[in-house]
Amino acid sequence: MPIRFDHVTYAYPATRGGAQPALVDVDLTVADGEFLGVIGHTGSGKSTLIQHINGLLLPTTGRVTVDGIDLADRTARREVRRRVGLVFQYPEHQLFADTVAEDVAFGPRALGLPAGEIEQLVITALERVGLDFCEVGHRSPFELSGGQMRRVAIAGVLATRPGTLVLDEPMAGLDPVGRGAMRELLRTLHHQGLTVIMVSHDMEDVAALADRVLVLRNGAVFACGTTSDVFSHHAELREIGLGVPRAALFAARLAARGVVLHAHPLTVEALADAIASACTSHREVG
Amino acid sequence: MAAGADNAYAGPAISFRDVCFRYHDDDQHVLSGISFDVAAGEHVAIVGANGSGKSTLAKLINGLLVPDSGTVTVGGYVTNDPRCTYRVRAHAGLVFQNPDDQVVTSIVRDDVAFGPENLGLSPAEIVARVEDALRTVGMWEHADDDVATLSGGQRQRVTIAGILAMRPSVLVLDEPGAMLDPRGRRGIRRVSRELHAAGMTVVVITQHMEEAVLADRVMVLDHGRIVTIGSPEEVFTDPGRLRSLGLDVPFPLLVAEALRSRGVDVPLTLDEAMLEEAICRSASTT
Repeated sequence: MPIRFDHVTYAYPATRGGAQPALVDVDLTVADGEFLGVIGHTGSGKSTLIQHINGLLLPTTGRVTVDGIDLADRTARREVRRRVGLVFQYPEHQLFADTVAEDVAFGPRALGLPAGEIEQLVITALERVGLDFCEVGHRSPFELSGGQMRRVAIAGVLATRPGTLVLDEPMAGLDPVGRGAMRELLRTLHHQGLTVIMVSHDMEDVAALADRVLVLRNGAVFACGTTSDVFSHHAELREIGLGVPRAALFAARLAARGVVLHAHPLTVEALADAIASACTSHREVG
Repeated sequence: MAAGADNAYAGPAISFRDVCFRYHDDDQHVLSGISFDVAAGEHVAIVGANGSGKSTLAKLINGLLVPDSGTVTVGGYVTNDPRCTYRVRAHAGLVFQNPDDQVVTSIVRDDVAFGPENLGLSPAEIVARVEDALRTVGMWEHADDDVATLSGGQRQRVTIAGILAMRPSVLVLDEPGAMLDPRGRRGIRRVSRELHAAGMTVVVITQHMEEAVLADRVMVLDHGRIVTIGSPEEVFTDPGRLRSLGLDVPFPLLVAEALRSRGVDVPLTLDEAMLEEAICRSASTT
C-alpha cells in the first residue's frame, strides 16, 4: 500500500509562527514498487520531506500515512519504521560496530528477532548489496573502501526487510566507478520490488533510475510527474536553478537544427537510439 | 634558496621533480615518481579516481605537505626549505573541498581579512584587498553578513576571496564543487575562469570532466602515478581507457561512442558543436 502525504505543512520549531515553513501543503502519493526521484535546490525541503516518511518529523498540519498507518500514532510509528528504511547522506559515517556482520545485525537485533533468524537476515542483506558474508562479515567496516562502507550501511537498513527504501543523495562523494555500481544496485533493488525514493541533485542519476520525479521549491511541490514529462520543461527547471539531463538538452539542440527525434531521450543510450533511427529512416527515404 | 627569490623569476609557476610521498614510513607511497611543470598563467586540471593521490598532490603544491624525496618548487621557492615556507604559502593559495574547514570568523569581511592581517600589511592596504577580493568573487554586497547565513556556494566563494586577498600567483582548488549543488558549482567555475583570464595560474582538482575539459592541460593520476598529461583533446580520446582509470567519460564522447556502436559515423570528439554538425549531416536527406 502506498505512502500518502495529505496536505502536509511543516515548520521547524524555531521558526514556527515566523518565517516560511520548510514544507508547504505537500500532497503526494507514492505507489508500491515505484521509483520516485526528488529534486530541488538546496533548502527546497527535500531532506525535511523524507524525514516525514518514517516519522522522524511529524507534520505541523496535514497527515502522512504509510500503508494506511497514520504516523502521528506513536505505537504504529514503530511498525512503519520497520517498513521504511531511511538511508541518510554519507550513511557510512554512522557505521560503528567492530565487524560488518555486527553492524548489519544492529537493526534486526533492535527489533528483538531470534539470533538464528538475524544471521540469515544479515547474510541476505549483504548479498543484496553485492557483498559476501564469508568474505567481509568478520572484517572491520573501517577497513573497507568508501563505496563498500556505503553498501554495508545500506545492508544495515535492508536487514529489517523494509518495503520502501528512502535515500538522501546516495551517490554523494563516490567516484565514477562507485557511482555506476550504486546506480546498478539501486536499479536491482527496485526490480526486486522495493519502492525507492531517492533525493538527488544529479539529474543524470534521476533520469537513469526514476519512474517519476517530484520537484520541490521553497518547500512546495513545483512539479510532479513522469520523469520524461518533468524533464521536458527545460526553461521552467532552469529558472528555478535546476538542470535537465544532458541528453535532453542535446536533443533540443538537434531539434533546433531541424533534426527532430521521435522520442524524448533522457539518457545517452536513449539519445543514441533515437539519433540512429533518425539517420536510418532518412537514409531509407533518400 | 632557489634562484626565484626575486621578481624577475621566469621559470615555471610550479615544478615537481621525481616527487614521492607517503603519510607514514611503513605505508605504501601515496605518490611516486611525480614530475611535471605548470607554466605561469596556465590552467591545469588534475583528475583521477578516489585514492589516486589528487588531494595529497594539492597539499604538496602549497607546502602543507613536503615530499619524502624529490623536490617541489613554487615560483622558484623550494617547499621543503623551511626558510621558504612563508613565501611558498604566499605564492600558492589552496582552497579546500569543504569551505567550513577554512572559515575562521563569523563576519564575511573579517574572515577575508584574516590572511592579509597575518601578512603584516597596513590597515588601509588590508581594507583595499578585502574589498577587491570580495568584488572578484561577487560577494562584496555580503561583506557585513554572518558567514553562517550564506549558502554553501557563497561560503566557498568567501574562502576563495580569503585566499585571493593574500595575492597569490597560483590558486589551487581541491574539488571546489564537491559539496555544492549545480548552481553553486557553476558560480565557482565562473570565478576560477575569470581569475585564469586575469593571468593567474589555476590548478583545479576535480571529478567533473566537464570542468576538466575547460583546462589548458589535464593530468590523470592513477594509484599515485601520472598516467597521462596533455591537452583535453589528447587525454579524452579513448572512452574505454578513461573507464579503466575510473574516470567519467565526457558527454560528447559518450554520445559519439554510442552512435558509432549503432553504425552512425561521427567523430570521437569532445566538441559538442562538432558532434551536432556531424549528426545533422548524417540525418539530412541531401
